Amino acid sequence: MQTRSHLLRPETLNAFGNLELLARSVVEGMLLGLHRSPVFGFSQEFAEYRAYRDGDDPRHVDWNVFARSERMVIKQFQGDTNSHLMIVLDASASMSFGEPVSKLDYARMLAACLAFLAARQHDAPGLTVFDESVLRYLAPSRRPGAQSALLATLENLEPGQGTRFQPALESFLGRVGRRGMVAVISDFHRDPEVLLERVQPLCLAGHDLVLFQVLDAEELRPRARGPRLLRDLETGEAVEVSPDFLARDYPERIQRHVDDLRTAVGRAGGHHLLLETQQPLGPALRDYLKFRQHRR
Amino acid sequence: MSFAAPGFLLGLLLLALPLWLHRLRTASNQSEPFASVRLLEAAAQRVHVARRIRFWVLLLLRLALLALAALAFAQPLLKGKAAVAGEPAHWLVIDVSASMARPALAQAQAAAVDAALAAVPPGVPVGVVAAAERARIVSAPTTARAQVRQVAAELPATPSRVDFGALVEQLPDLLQATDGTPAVAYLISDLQATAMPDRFSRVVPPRALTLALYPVRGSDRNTSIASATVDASELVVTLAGDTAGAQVQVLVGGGAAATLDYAGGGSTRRAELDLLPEENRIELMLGDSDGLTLDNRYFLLEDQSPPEQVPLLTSRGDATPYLVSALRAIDPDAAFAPEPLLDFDPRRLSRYRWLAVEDLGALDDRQAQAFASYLENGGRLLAGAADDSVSRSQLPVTEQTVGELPLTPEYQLGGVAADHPILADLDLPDLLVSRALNIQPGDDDVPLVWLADGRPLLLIHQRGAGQAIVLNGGFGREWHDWPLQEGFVPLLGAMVEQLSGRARFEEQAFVGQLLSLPADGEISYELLPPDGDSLFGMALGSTGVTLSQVGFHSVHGSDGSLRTVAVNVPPVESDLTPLAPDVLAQWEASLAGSVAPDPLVTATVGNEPAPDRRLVPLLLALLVLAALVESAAGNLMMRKPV
Repeated sequence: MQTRSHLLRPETLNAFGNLELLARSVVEGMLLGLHRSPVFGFSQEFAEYRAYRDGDDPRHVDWNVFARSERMVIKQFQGDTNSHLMIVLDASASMSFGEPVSKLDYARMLAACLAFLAARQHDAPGLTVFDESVLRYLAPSRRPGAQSALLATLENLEPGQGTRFQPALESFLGRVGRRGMVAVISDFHRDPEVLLERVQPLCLAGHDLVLFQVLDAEELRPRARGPRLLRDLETGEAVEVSPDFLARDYPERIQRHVDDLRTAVGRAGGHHLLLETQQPLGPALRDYLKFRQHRR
Repeated sequence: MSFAAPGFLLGLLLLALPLWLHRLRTASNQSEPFASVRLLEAAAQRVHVARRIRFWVLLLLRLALLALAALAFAQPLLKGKAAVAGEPAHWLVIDVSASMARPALAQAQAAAVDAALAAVPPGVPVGVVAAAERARIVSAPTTARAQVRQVAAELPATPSRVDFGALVEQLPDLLQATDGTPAVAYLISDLQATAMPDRFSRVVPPRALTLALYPVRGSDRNTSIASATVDASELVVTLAGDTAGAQVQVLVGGGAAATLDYAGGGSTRRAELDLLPEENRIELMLGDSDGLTLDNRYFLLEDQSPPEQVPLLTSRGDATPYLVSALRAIDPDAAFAPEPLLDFDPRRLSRYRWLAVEDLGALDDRQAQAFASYLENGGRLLAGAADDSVSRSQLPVTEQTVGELPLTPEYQLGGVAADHPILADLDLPDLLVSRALNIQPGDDDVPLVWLADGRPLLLIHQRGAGQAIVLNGGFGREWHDWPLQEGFVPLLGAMVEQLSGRARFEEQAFVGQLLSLPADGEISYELLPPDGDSLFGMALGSTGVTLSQVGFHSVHGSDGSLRTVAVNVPPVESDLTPLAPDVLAQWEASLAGSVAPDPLVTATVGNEPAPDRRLVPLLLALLVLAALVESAAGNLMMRKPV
């Protein structure tokens, strides 16, 4: 069961009740899968040698090589990065949408898994939760207690108000000087060009940016059985839409929005992943690792 | 339950309106949360028909409002407690023919009415139909039995006859009896044998009509005047029935003229009358020696007017024998006097209603001018155009051009105006024509018969108020063989009738008979019955008028003519012999499925069903209540937050 937990459906995982257990199950299950993969080898395995530079930890010097050749080389292992991962999580009201697993629940599980995966890779996970403002900020840290605090924060998340990316991203930029990974989890119901302006400073600052766009199936393919009065969860604005529009026009629009977002993020040098709340988390993590590997 | 104004029930169709309206949505009133409406586009304001009906309580109230309003307008009537739903309409069909005028039948008729009413289920409306020459509804169906009895008792007998075959054929339409809405008819009649049609099948009603027979029995002893004729001045009167001791008073012009005593046996008596040389109105009055008095008067018309003088103006005299013999065959009493045209003084023209001229071409100018004036003032002329007209380029009087003969003249018959009254009843013979003038008809001329090359053989020329009938080739046999043909006399008779204005009236007629009057397109008639109250106009196209009274009827023609028609009771009504028992049994047996009549049953007088109850006040009260509740419920439900 443990080996397949990364493929469990989100509604099943959501019933775990313990994010740490959930993240561990998903990540380790996924990693076991990767070991069997001919493409991805990920563990504390030897990768290469490189010349010792000042500042390198002497514990990583391969003394056997030094004894034979009097050259000091450092043994390089996969996953040994000493980087950090900042998870920027959108907890606005729109993230509460979705049945049976809300987008916020899904994002919560995704964030936990990412944090757990980062810890396994010796990255320091951090967390920024925001809606219209920054709700919580946890600085990236590899301290044992930091991960527990992060998971506890995620467990206690409640949907907030509207969505403003600028305060969260500016706050992050102001606090974290080192370059690292930035994973933004949101539904991104914003103009892609505006969003581009917000995230571009992250990329320019040298961060590797990946956007996890979490959407519910109802947002991508809404029911069109009759006219519906749809009320925006953040603004309260209600719009009467015809079934014809929901059946034909809206799916095209949301797909175009996703494509535009992907294009905009790509222009900024980031990566975009679309996740449906019905999808298992494992593939999302695999995509993330693939992206991360390519960046290295 | 019945409705006083069932047409308003169509208002129930409006029930569909609230049903539809309650499914309408101009906007979805129940909003659903959605992540973001940024990519949504508001639909144009449109009307949707929702799958589900909203506001059930309100809808039911509104449906009730409309239904109550429609029902209130339709004015439903709740039958009395004894009312039977789904009963067909019931009708008392009461024979009001002359034979029912016997006073002795009144009591039997009342008993028959009671028996028929007793057979009607309680509370079912009953109507009354009077059956004579034609059946007519005299009282609409009502549950008030007393009213039905009163109408039946006061229904007067008429001097007309009844024919059961015609009656049974009329009733389904009259009573609107169809398979969907059957009717029950109770025939109350003395069931005369003479009222039965020749074919028994005619008295078998269609399935939708249930017929029950209620015979009214009475004495069938009767004496009537079977016939009355006048030969010269001798009146011959024959009685039918029991003639013993009968006496007939003879009135001529309203004054007593003779008394015929039938004592001593025999049914025929003669009397010499002193008649005037005019139309004599003879009235025969049979002594009141029987139960049926309606047929005791007999009206007879005897015209002793001197024969009308009609000059036949001859020129060559060739056609005279044929014309005179034909005219005398038509009317032996008419005084057709051949007279040489040369000796005829045109100043005498005004004396004659019409006259004949052998050949128009023989008229000199003075005569032609006088004849033209005669026509202008309403005179009628029967004229030939033959040898004397050959040299004319224009016919005198009618002024029709006589042209040259066609290069290839045709002597075969080209056509006839078969719908013209003169030719309407005639079969045109296969004429052998050897000569014919090329008469060019004028605009007002009507060709009746013409040759294949278009030359008219017989035509009518209109001039002023008069007209002339011109026969191309004359009345002799030199130009054509028409005078030798069998149909010549009827043709001449039709022409004479047209010219003389003497319509073919029936001088003797019976009540119920259709008095047909000739319609020649010019003369209209008015009929003045004896009571002087009714005046029927009969214009062109009318087939006539049904006579409804006995006595002398005056017929006034628009040409100033006055005719008289003597109308009597149909003689079949005087024969009071009832249907033979076997015929009656056969008829009753054929009325399978009819209500079982029992003439001996006496209806319980005064045991009337409860009157119809009007439901309108109750409906109006419910309507007001529903309106109030609807208003309150509407306010309550519509204020509910979405």
